[in-house]
Amino acid sequence: MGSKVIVVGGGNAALSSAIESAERGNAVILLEASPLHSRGGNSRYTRDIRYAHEEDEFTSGSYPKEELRDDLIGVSGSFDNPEVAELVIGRSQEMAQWMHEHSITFKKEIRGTLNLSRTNAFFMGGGRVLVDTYYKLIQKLGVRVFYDAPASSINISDCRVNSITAFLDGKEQEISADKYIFASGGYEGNKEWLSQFWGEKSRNIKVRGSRFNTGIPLRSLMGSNALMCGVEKAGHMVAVDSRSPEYDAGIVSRIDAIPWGIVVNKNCERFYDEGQDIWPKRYAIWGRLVADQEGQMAYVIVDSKATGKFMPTAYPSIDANSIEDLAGKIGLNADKTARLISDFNNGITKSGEDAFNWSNNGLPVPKSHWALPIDTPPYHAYPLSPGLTFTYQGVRINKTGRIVLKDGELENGFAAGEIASGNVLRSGYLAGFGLTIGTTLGRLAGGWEND
Amino acid sequence: MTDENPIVSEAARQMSICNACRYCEGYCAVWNAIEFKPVLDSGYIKHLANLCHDCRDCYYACPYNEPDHEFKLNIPKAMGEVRMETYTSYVRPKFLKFVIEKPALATILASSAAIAVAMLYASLVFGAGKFSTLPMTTVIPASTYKPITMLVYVYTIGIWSWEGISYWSEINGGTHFSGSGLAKGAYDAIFHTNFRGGGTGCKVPEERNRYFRMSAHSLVMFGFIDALVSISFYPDIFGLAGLAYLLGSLAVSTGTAALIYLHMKERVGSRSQKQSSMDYPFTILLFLAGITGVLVPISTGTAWFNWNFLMHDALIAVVFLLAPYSKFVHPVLRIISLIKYNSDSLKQTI
Ligand SMILES: Cc1cc2nc3c(=O)[nH]c(=O)nc-3n(C[C@H](O)[C@H](O)[C@H](O)COP(=O)(O)OP(=O)(O)OC[C@H]3O[C@@H](n4cnc5c(N)ncnc54)[C@H](O)[C@@H]3O)c2cc1C
Ligand code: SF4
Ligand code: SF4
Repeated sequence: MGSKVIVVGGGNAALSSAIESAERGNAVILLEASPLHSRGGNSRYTRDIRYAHEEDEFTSGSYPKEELRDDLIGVSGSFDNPEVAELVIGRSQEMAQWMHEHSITFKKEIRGTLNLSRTNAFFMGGGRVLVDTYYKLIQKLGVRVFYDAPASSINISDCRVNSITAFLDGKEQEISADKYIFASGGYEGNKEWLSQFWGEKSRNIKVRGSRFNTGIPLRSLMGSNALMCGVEKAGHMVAVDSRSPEYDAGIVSRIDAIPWGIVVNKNCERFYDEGQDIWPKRYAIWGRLVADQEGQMAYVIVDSKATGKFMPTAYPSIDANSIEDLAGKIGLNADKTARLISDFNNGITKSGEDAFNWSNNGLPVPKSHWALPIDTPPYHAYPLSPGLTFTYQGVRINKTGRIVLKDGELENGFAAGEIASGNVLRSGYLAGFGLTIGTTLGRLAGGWEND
Repeated sequence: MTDENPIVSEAARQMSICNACRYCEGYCAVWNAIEFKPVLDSGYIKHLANLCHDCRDCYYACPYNEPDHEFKLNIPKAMGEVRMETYTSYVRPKFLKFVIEKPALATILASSAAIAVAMLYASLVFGAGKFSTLPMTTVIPASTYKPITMLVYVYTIGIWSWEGISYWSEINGGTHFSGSGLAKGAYDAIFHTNFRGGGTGCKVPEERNRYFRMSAHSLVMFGFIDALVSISFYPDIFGLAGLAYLLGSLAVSTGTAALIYLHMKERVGSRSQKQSSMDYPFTILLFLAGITGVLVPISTGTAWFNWNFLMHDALIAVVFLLAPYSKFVHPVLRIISLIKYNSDSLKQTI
């Protein structure tokens, strides 16, 4: 009959593999590092999936496999593991239907700012509802779930996982099974690990997702000679509000006012073209740009014309009726800031009515689009910090989902989700694809097609 | 956005986070309405609070809830607190505010007084012994019944309107209003459009997606309207009208019992305490009115028919007298917000 399976992790990938595995009659144990109230890792903060599809009821049109592949290559450059990337792309086609069959409700019509998208489907309630629905489901399927149960090490020899050590019922224990699925996410929540790359700066990086994603199983696999995929140092990093908590602010801390104003650092200097290119693509470079400034801080300044043009923010803007007062409030040199803004305003070239074509290319740091003069009070500022979404590096897997070591493949050790996302996306990110990687690879590890 | 009132400004703080998130879009009208405004002023927060009908779907979707997350959100509770603020601040005449602020006491006192008056009337005018043998129309002649009920209705509707207009003028600043918004608002109220959780049902009770709450509320609402219409045929309440009255009363009592059960099941603190303490007494009052209503046809021909009928009338009178000073202001403020919401949203789509 069924075999004994241990799933390490408690987000979308772990849950998808637990569902798949339990539905195949296996005895599944799931270890979630977090307490019940914050279960679900980064998956808890998601809201949509990107998948290749024909026309369907959850999206506004078809999205062929080829187009999805091109989009992935567009953000990532190339695939580190083309075989697995192809598998994920192909299997993504069945995903929305599978989720739907497993009690996930997709939005069918969206009013307001979000319109039904062609490439992505949005589910009701977002990530917490997603993971809560799956937890309910696996409990019905008889999966034993342990909370506050981080795995601390993986004991591997001769291409086999022999056991894992984990915290269970308040004490460290060694447990073993026939099969192990590692779906414990990246290491974005591990400041010590981040400091290897970022040094002191890592202290000022906000972790947008779960504080429990510390990458311990990943590190343990690295120590056992697992092959790596994905760019080592990099992570997806966007500009977030400096006032947000250090961990777990999810989607709400992001600031996307940048194209509508200018961004200055503590020395009142602009340091990058705020109007460059198309915003969704540029959104992700601002985390790194801010991380390179003194104190990992910057400020975006807009005037009243920008109100309502960008997503509302979780924290109120800092407001003043003159640039000098605003500078005072955010601790910048008033004269320097005023000079910077008047230089900016004076050199703007407006071609046509559409502000997209307004620019100021005469400055040391140009602004190539949306160069709206900052001249209409009240003025608003938001303080910016780098916000890390996730890290890219993970273990290499083969097309059955098994982890690849330097000297062979793990017979009974699988990886799914962000811990293996480097196989598909070596860097960069395509909105909604994190869940797709997790669901497809999770199901694969859980026995979809393998058994 | 800053409001003197800490309850409103706390709700504004929470809703600003929602406005940056919007994951709950689709659950109810609040999540569409929030998108019409980049900055939420206090009038708008009050409007949102009355668009919220306390289904708790957003509570069970939110990853930022109190006490575990730094953002300390609890939207249904925050909305409930503001809603209670609006209920009390739009009480007209204002000096009667104390009634709505002490819902349990007001309900108990008013019901006891009404029942006592009815019993005194029965025993003093007819004599307690003889009372139960008299025909119904002697006890309550139709010629008295009709003008009294009319008077009560005029009183309730009059004060409701006064309160509603005061509310409307604050939340709307006298602007957008449209006939189609009115029609769509009424439609939403009648068909419980927002009770469907965008196709997922409500997560109360017990965090299961279903239509329990929608069914309970529909029973109370339609039962009440049905009973109201059928009793207008008094004294001819035994044929078809009697059957309709029985069904209406049955619906009100089952619906209210279901709502009471639902409130009792609530364990996680996802709703305003003040809201609960206002809901309980009024729901129980309606439940008792419903049960005594059910007994009207059942007790026909028995010795206690007159006693029950009189008690039932007394309770119904209390429902109407307290309506503008109890949970029963909610239909007014809610309908107004639904009309505003639909007027605004029709305007948006143009
Ligand atoms: C704010 C935000 C919004 C996002 N929005 C989207 C979106 O809309 N769509 C999308 O596709 N992607 C989105 N992403 C990316 C997406 O969250 C991830 O790609 C995806 O959730 C990864 O799933 P996972 O199961 O691999 O990891 P996670 O969901 O992060 O789960 C990892 C799990 O492992 C547990 N764990 C960690 N260490 C251990 C250990 N030692 N022992 C046991 N358990 C452990 C964690 O507690 C957690 O439960 C978003 C990310 C963020 C931060
Ligand atoms: S209640 Fe929570 S999940 Fe819902 S919109 Fe508000 S912040 Fe987002
Ligand atoms: S509790 Fe229900 S009705 Fe109220 S805001 Fe949340 S989803 Fe809307």
